[in-house]
Amino acid sequence: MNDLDKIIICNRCQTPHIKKNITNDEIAICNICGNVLYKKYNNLLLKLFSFSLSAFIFFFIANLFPVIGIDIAGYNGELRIIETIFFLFNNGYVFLSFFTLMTIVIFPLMLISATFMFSLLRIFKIKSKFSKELLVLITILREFVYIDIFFVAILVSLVKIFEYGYILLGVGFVSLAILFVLMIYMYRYINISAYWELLDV
Amino acid sequence: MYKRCHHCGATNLNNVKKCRRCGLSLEGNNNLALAFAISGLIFYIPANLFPILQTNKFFKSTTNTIIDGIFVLWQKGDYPIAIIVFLASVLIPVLKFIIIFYLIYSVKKRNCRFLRLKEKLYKFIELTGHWSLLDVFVVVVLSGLIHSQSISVIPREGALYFLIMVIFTVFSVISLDITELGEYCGRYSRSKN
Repeated sequence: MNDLDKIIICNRCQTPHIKKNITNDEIAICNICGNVLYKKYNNLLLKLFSFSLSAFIFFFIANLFPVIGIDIAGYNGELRIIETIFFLFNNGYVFLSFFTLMTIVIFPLMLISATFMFSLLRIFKIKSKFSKELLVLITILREFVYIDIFFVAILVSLVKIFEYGYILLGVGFVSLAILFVLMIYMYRYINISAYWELLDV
Repeated sequence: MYKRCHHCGATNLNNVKKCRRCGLSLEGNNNLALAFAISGLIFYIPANLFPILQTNKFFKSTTNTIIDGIFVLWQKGDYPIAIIVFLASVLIPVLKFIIIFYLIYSVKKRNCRFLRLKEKLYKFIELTGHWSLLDVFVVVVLSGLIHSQSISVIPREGALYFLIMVIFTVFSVISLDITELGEYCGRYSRSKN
């Protein structure tokens, strides 16, 4: 273990502190500004494994099945994420479709896969350089995954159109809602430095 | 003496450029952040002037800019949604530009006043910045859902400009390095533990 690993710097006030061992679900707090320095998550590795596996399943359901359906004066419309991307592309909105494809489909898929593979490697204690590469990928990609915003955008759209017709929530909507919660937990609630701590375990 | 990697949280010596643990850059580029912010600001003007959405209903066609959409929601009585769209599409982008320019100015001028506030402002734009994409995704959802010959919703050029503006500001926030200011103001050397 490097000497620098024993020091932790407060994210807010940049004050260095000596790292101390804490028990599960305990939080270390900066004595200068009160900011959370680090937290020991209970069974983090197993949580990451199970949540990323669940996210993987729900991701495919959300992408393959209709998210919402609408019936306006005889017109039946369905929202499927992949079809929407193709629709935008075919109608000349290439950049918009490409952006949606990357941030709603490709990046989340890469992020979930990377988390799953990383947790699998760590659970079986396989020492590999690949683990670090996966963590770098997770660290960068989590900034560019916008499933949470997309889900809220669907809710806003529902409010905008609910008085024009009959709305049906599909299987994809439920899956997307669960995926939204899982993504928030894995990549917003859990600090990324906790992932990096697992590399040294 | 020490520097915290804002990517992985590892502690590094102050004289290194790349993190010893993740290998990513420890330093931001405030000139690049300024360039991105100016580019974003340029695209923010057409994003507000051009329509973001076009609704075709039988033989009638209406276009809406971002501001129009908020007014329509407000007049319909959907106050919470109007407020959310206003926050995400108008207030946050404007605040983001003001904060980015203020932070870059402070770093360049080594202005140590309101350091705590500046750190909070940086956190604010880091957390809320990409939520401006809400309106773009609403357009994507509506156009994917309603696209028949009689009724259709299609994105217009305003959506594209708005998307480009958000991308530029997201990159601007990523490039911005506020810890430089902390170093100038001597907060790094304050080691109490």
